[in-house]
Amino acid sequence: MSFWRRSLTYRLVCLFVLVSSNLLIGLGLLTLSATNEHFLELDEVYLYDKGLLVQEIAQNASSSEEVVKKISHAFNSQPDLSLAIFDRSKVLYNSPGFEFSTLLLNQLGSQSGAAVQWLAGTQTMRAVSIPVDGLTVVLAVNTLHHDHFMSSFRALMWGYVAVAIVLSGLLGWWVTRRGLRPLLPIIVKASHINAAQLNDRIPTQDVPTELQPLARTLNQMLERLEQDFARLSGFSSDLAHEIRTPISNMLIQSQVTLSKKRSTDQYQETLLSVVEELERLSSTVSDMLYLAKTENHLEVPNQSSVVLESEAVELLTFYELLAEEKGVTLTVAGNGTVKGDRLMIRRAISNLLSNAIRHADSSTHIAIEITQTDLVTTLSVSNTGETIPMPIQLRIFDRFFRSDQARTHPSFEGAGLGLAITKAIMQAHGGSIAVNSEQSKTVFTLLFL
Amino acid sequence: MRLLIVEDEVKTGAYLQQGLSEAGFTVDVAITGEDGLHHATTSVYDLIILDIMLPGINGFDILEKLRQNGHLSPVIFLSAKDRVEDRVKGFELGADDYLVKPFSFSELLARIRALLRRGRTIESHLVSVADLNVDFLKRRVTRAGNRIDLTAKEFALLELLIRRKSEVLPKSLIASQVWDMNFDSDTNVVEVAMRRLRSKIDDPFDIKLIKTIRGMGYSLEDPLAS
Repeated sequence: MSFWRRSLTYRLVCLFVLVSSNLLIGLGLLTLSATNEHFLELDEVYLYDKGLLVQEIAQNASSSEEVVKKISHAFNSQPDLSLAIFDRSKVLYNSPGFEFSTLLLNQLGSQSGAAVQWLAGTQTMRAVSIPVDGLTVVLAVNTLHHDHFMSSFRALMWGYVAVAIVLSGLLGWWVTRRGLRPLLPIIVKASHINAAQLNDRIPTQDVPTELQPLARTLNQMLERLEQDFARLSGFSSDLAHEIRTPISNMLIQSQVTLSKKRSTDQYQETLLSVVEELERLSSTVSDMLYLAKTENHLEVPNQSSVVLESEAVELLTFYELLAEEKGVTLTVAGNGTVKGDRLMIRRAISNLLSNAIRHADSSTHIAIEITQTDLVTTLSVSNTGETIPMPIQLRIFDRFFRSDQARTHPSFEGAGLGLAITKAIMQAHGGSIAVNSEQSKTVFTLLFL
Repeated sequence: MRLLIVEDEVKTGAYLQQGLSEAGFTVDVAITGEDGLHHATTSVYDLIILDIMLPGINGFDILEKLRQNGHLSPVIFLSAKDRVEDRVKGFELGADDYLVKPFSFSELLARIRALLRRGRTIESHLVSVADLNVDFLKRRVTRAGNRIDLTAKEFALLELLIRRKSEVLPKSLIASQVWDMNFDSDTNVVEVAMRRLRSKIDDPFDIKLIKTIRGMGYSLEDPLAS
């Protein structure tokens, strides 16, 4: 069974053999039976022909003796035809070399008109009985030459069928081999692709039409892998950068401080600065771990009912101080309940809110709007501030992505993982996140299904 | 107050011992599981700090044996493992707290103090620090006889500082206790809130009660009392 499943060639050969043997054996049986039927008919016609002759002779004779004499005379020269004339059960004439029994006569009498076949010693005979002036004439023909033909025809036929079946099996094997040959370049190409050559693609123009979807799918897979790989490489180098920078800051600072005797205040200053760097580093590491766990579904969302409005309102009490400092007002409108992990959803909303405040122009308004329909629940956070250009919108959910503005601006803190975490949280909940930014208005929307 | 630290990282153990001793505790350090278990079963400690990954007997086993033998001292786990299962296992075995490395020293100190205080203090609803008087029942605050109006969150913040007077409270702890923000927020909300509270509690007066300990957090104390 496992081999059956494994080998395409084996399967196709079996199918070819099955189809051709059914076809050929059926055809053979049909031909044989039709031929046999035809011979039977020929014999019957022949016998009835002779029967007519017998009747004609009988009509021209005056007595039964004369009938017997004339008939026996007429058929003496026909070697394949045997003849007997009965008067009821009494044998009046029997052609030499063959013994008609009365049993046969009874059988013929019961099946009037039809030819009867029987085996006499080694010979197969076929006979009819014909009534002639109160006598019964039995005519029998030897079917030996037909049988002979039939048996040699049968042997020839089955021999041909057997050879044809074997040939069709071979044909199946050959067709499979040949049919699968276009896969070879794909295999060769695919076996040469590795992480360093992800830009290689399988050539689709030489591939047969049936295999083109396969080649295209493989190419699409490579495309995705290449993108993911590029992202991962970028991520690793970003990560190295994120960790290396604070470490080198601390190292330089500590070494410079140690290079000569300093006052207590100066030592304190150095230590404080080191603590700050370490705190940032530690929060980057825990954010990254959280992100990795969320993305790989290690952090399984707790399924409970989360009332979005009350989460948003609670977050507002946390952020409103910050907003006030900036002269930004915060409001929540609408309501909706979703299934999920309260803490994770809260974190997702919190990230959007802190971003919105960070990028809002002063004296503007940040609105949280919640809508719920039968199909989806959305929560959007909109702020007025600099429009996010399209190329940045496309990359904004990438890890460690920060706009150049955020990189240089000292107050734009954070490791650049907030939106990536938010996205991962939404995906862990089977939802999604979208951004829309135009004419100084930026809206981030969380979509729960 | 006697504490036991079981930690195989010599440096971590030494610094924790130094820090906690300076905070007023008597501290013993064990660097293997066997040693730690021996100390914990032969002496009496008010609180035990356990690393999970230890040579010989690990932290989970130590706690299990202690609880089996009827030792009920509070236990804080320190670990670099932050899988949910590890935390759950720790709490199931009877741990009182679980801190994931890297943690800040002030966070550890605050949690140790909270555990030691647990169930022992009778919290009065009338508290005064220097000339600041707070009535938690009526939610009324006066300083030097002047009524001070606080918002709900400002009051919650003040309450936390007063209830844990003279303790250094890290920002993360304040955010989680006052706003239920149990994750790092990369914003300076706590600083802003603290500035607001100070503008009402401290700014109009000569004696400043709220102290910023840079790199550690905030604390409220009467500077003349100590």
